[in-house]
Amino acid sequence: MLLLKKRGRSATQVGRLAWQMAIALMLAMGLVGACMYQVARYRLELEVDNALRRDLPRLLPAGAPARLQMQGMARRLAALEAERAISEKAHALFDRQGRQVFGRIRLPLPSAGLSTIAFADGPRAGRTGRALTVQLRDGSWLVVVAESEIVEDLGTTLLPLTISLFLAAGLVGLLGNWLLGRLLAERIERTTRVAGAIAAGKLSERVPVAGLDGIFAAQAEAFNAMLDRIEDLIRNHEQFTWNVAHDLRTPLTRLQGLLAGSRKGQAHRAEQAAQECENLIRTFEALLRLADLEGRHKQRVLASLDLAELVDELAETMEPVLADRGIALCFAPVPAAQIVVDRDLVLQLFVNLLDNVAIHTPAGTTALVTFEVEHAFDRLRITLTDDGPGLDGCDSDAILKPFVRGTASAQSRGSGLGLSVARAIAHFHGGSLALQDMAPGLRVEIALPLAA
Amino acid sequence: MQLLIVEDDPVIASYLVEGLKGMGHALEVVANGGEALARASGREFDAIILDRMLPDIPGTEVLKRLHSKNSAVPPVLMLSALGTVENRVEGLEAGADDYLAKPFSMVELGARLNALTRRSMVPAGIPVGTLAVGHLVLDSDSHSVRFRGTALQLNRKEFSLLAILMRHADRLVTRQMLFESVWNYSFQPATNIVESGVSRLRAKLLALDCDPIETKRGAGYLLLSRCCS
Repeated sequence: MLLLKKRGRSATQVGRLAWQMAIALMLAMGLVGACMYQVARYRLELEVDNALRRDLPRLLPAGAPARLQMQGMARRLAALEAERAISEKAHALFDRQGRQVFGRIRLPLPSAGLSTIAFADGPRAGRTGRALTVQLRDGSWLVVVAESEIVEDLGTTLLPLTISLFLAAGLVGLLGNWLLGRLLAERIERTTRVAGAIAAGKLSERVPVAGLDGIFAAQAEAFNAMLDRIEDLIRNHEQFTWNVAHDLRTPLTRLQGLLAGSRKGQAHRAEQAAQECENLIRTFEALLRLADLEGRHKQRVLASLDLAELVDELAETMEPVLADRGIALCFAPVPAAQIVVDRDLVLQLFVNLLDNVAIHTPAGTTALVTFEVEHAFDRLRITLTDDGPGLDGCDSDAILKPFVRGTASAQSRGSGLGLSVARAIAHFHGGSLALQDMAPGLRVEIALPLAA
Repeated sequence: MQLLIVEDDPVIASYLVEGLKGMGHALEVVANGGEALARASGREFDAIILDRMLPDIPGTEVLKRLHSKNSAVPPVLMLSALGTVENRVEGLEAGADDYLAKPFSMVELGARLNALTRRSMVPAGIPVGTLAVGHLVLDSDSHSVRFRGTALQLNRKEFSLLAILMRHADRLVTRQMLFESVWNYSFQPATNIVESGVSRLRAKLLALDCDPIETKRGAGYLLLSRCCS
């Protein structure tokens, strides 16, 4: 479940990255389009201005009478315009006072030199263009106008082009990044899968390096080297734990032998000492079990177990134990349910919890076990409640740690590992165990996976 | 009984010698596997106590060689510091008749040797068929118990406890033996489930005026046949 959730998360992150890259590409393309338009427009205007400048010597040829004046100019312009049916350029003449005296187009007198102007061409008003204005000898003004149509056309041509570029960039960005993301995700996924397997206890799992190259291969190799080292450390630690536990059994046997020799006359003490030996052994057994469960070294076969059978076994075993201490053990009606567990481990879980009730609560206590099948979560919730002294202010998280005992039970017997082992067993099955101080009383909630 | 002890640790060996001599057994002690094989084929023993970890040949290997060389091997009780259920199964599969984890008490060892030499106890097993001790009759097939003709309602644990005690009537059955045969958990509960189970069984028998189970303090129980008539 955890693994699946993580995979889902990484996939959406790749998706967001693709969108971000696509938007960045679109903005870049938009900017390129705008720059292109500005540059092209500048170049076109320059071209128009040059054309206007080239037109002047044609209108004012070197050989023309030096005193060519407004009237002569008007005649010449009329003749020139008549020669060409359609002219790319228009001309206008203004008298000394700035009144227009000639011209197909109407416009106010522009300032001298090159300028951008608005003019009316017959019925079509509000047209724009570039104008070159020069003063003739008699103080009148000659204006040569070229329409800006080509520049305006450029705008209408470039805009769809820019929009297409903009959209194409978005599409390419989105697709490209999605594909790249998938490729990356597939490679990262290998590592994620292995990390998940390691977390689940398969210490020998490694990232397959075949088919990887460059930094991916280097990363996989580094990751595998790290795993080799970790596995080595864990195996050493495991071996150490086993050695400690096993090597302690032998001196304990010898101690027991020595105690047996000194029994004469001190039978009671010897028996107490032997009992202590047994407690020591139980503690080591529990430590071994904890190391085994948390390291998940042993391959255990989980099988379907009928809840009714589990309850029968527990009732037959633990009810007499609790009754001998004046504690009542009651079971709520057992629903039909199957759990997928290691039978021996789950029995240990519940025997440990009921042992705790027997050891840490006074006579007259009632312990109640209830069941709740949660099909929506595929789990069985078993709750053990007692009306004993509870945790007496102890932290319910701390008390689940190895060798931590509650204040109320500091004097009582017990290895201090029973609850830790119980919780490790619940976790081993993918379930949970939680304590709740009911002050008074203790509530233990265990969740175990239901059979499919 | 003539016993062969194969144990390399001198302190444990002397503990065994002292305890078993006290029970009236005749002993021979060897400290390694090679010597054990030589002695076992030269002489008749009633039982062999074999340590699993020996300096030369592992105990399991000694067992295999014993079985391949001889047709009649005496019952073997394997001693080991490896005490998990898996280790026990390994030992039994190698050919041991019983398996005892260190540390153990002399009472435990004595009771197991008695059970072994009578060949009456299948390790971790419940006897099958009908058992009768005096007027107490137990039928494993129909899961029923009668005393003087009156039926007794027992749950599975109580039934198994009674069956084993009846099978070993008048002989000591240790708590550990009962725990292994009736529960066979891979863990030791912190409370005494055997004691509470037996006291519940005893109460049910008492209701029919039958009180055959005697407690041997610190050791175990025995079912007295004279109290069943």
